[in-house]
Amino acid sequence: MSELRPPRFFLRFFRWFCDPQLHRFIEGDLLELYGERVVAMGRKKADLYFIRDVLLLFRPGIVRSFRWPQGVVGPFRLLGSYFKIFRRNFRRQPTYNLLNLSCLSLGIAAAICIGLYLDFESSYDRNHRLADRIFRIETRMIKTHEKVMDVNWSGSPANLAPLALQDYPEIEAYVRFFSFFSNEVRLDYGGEMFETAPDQVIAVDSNVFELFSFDLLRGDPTTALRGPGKVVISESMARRIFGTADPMGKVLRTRLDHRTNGEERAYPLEVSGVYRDLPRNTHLFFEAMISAETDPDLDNYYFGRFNVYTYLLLRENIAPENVAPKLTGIYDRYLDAQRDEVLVHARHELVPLPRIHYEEAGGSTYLLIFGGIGLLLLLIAFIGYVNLVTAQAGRRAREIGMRKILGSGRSQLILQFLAESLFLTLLAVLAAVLIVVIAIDPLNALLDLHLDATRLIQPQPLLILLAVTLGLGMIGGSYPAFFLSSFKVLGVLQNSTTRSAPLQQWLLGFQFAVVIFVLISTGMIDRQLDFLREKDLGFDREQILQVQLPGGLSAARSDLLQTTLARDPDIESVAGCDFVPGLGGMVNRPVSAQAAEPQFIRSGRIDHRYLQTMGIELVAGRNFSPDFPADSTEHVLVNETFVRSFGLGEEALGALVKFGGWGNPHAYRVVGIVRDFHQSSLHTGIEPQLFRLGPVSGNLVLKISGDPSGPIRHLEQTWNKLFPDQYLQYSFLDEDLQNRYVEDQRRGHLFLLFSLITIFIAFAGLYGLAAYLTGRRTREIGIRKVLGADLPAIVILISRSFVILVLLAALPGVLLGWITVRMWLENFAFRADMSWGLIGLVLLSVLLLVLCTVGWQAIRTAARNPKEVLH
Amino acid sequence: MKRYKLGEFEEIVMLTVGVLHGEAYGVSIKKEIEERAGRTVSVGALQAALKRLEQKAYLSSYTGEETQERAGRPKLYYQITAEGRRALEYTRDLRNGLWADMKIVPGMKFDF
Repeated sequence: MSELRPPRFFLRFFRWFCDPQLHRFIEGDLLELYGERVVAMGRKKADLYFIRDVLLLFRPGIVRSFRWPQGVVGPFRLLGSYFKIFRRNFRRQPTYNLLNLSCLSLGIAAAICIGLYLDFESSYDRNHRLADRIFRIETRMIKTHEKVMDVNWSGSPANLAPLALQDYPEIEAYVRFFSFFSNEVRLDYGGEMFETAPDQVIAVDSNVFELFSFDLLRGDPTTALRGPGKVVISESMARRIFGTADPMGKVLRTRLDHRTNGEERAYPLEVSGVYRDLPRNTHLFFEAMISAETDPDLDNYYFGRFNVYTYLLLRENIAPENVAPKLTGIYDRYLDAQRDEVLVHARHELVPLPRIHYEEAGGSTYLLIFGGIGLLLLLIAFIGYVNLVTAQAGRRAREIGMRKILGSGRSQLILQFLAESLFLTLLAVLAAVLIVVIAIDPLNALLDLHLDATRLIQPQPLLILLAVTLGLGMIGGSYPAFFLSSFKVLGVLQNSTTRSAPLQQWLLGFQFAVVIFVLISTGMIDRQLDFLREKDLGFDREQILQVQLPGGLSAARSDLLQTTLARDPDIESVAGCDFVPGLGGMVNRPVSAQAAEPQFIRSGRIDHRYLQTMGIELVAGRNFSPDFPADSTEHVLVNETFVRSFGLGEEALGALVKFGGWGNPHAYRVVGIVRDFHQSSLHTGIEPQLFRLGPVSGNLVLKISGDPSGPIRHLEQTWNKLFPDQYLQYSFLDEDLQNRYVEDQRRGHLFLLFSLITIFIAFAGLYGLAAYLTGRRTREIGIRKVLGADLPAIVILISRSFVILVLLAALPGVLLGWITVRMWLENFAFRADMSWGLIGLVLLSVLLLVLCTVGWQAIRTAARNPKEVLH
Repeated sequence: MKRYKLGEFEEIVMLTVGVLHGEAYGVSIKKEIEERAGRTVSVGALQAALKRLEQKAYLSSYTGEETQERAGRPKLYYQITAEGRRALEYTRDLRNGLWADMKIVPGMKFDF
């Protein structure tokens, strides 16, 4: 029988794809059929049938499972092998590798958290559809008739925007937010009182829903706030007040003290809309919005008062820099010098809506600092990881030598280490995400943050995570990869010691520098926060109770309350003022003294017991006194800064002071000078102040002694007797003061947390490294012991190089910390000093920690019996 | 009760293996089916079915002689296992049961 020659290509194709277990038998069948067909129908037809059969055999069940052909080592098969080796190495030293992995993932997790924080901070107010075209008018400079002042106010005059809209076609619309009332708002519904948090109720123009994308659930966005006496409330407030009932059309009653004339009036507010609760990442955070027309004075505002937040909607493609200067023109055209004697004009800046929070929160400094910490954490974790991998190199040296002998090329070894590194970073990133998901809720609760882990499930963060994984894996793996693969085969196999890696020393030194930097910064931030807490504010803050008085209180009722309260032996004294002590609320108004040009001065009203109750010192002159009836109409007190800013010097006592320009016929005489005290937060300096004597409305301050519960009970009883229909609001002054630095403290805590993580990661890395390095010198230490070295000598020997590194790292670390802290302290007008003690303490504790970490390893090794080690 | 699953073609292949008793390998099975059923069977379809049946343990195989017309490739013979027999019986019983219970009224016409 002639030889069987089916089409070669298809026979080969068949051999390639066919399951090797079946292939011989099926090929036999094919050939047998082919032979028969050649005889029966000729070669050509047999060939066609053969091809058909082969093609029909190409189906699951017959086709083999596709791996790389045996003998050929494809990259995927190797990847599997690398994974195997990686797993084995991991298992060989589980504690060491777990330490490495957990440090890396902790670092990545912390960096992710910081990323989420930055994302949250920079996402403010971006949810508004027109955010790109909305700008807030802020005031940067004001010019009075006598003086030009740089200011940094976020408010502007109420009548500015309407005039601007009328004159400049670039402006499409404006919305004003303002509170024309000075008290905190309580809403009365059916006899029940509902409190609102401070600054959560605001008056607003009716077109607010056209500009801002608040989600109006009920009511008509165009008419909801049109006309006086309308209110739109948040969903949660609606639930709080009305439960499940329909809030639309219901009337809430409230009493508001009008800011300009101090008069209290009742306002009925009809609920005309409900909006979905606002997201946390907005600076426009209100529980209720009252229609602007509710304010009876709305049309009477006339320049001079920069107390309205105005948002402009510019037409498309209009640059805000071109519009802002034009606003000054409004003053030049419309300001009537007869009606406003002081102001000439003001210069404004238009701040884009999404940047407002950013700038209020301290601008780029904070974002830079936190971004920097995030990167540092990542870097530290990463360096620790590279160091540990590199240190482990010696252990792998024999493996590498063996691989080389067996024919591994250098590129294959490099690939192997890169792959191992990628496995590890991938694991670390996955673990980090897990840590973030678990830790985010406690972290939010602890630091009062609003981080959202689900933000990670978006293309951009996922891509960043992937990039971080690849980047860390490649860079982290490349050093050991190139370093290890360069080993000479003979060297490693004969003698297991390896060259020490110089880069390792650098990296370790860098780590120490970062640790010192972080400790210095944390220490300084802590000092500053302490400083804020403990700084002498110029008045007593302990044991002071502050009570909000109802508006429109008659002098007689106020006196009755005060005298009744003063009867309690635990209440040392009672005083009144029309501002919030230590927390602001003093009116900023132009004042001139001794015919000098007017300046903006904080003015407030106090009674004659105020200074004594608050423990504010008098530097010169006398306090207000009931013995001088003319005090309330003719005399004022001023503070030291006032004296300085008018350059009054020795003549301060008895100087004449007038509100507005010098043309004002009514003059006051200065009868006393009070020592400067901090009326506003320590972020800003002390402003010039002026005090007039009563009539006091607004606040009472109670100096109490001993346990506050007695006086509080007395206060409550007295209050309920005198004002049964008014809600009592009181607070401790020291707590209120502390609350002002909440944001600073939160950042301080965040910083503290991240620095702890940094230090933990750095020292865990050091621990692993020290363990490895001393482990390698076990025999050497054994020999030294045999030759007579004692324990201290060995500890010194091992830790010497680490200590030198710490000392070398000290200078850059301290310097960097110093610079960063200076940057942060720029936010405060009053700053704690840098202390040498802190620097010393930091260096000492780092040294001590290093010695403990390394020394413990040294002692452990040195304690071993040389007999066990040397054989 | 254990479920036996046997497709129509699988059943035919198994029965053919039974018919060919001891002589059942690729080519002979193919020819037998083609002859009896009057339809062409591709090597691929047949081999796939054989492999599937072997995986279900209804068939077992053993290597046979190498012949010259096969260019020295051995034959792979198939035979029915006990499990395979039960599967066949199950299928037959199922069919018979269905046939028995089908109510064929005399004179009734099938709706073909």
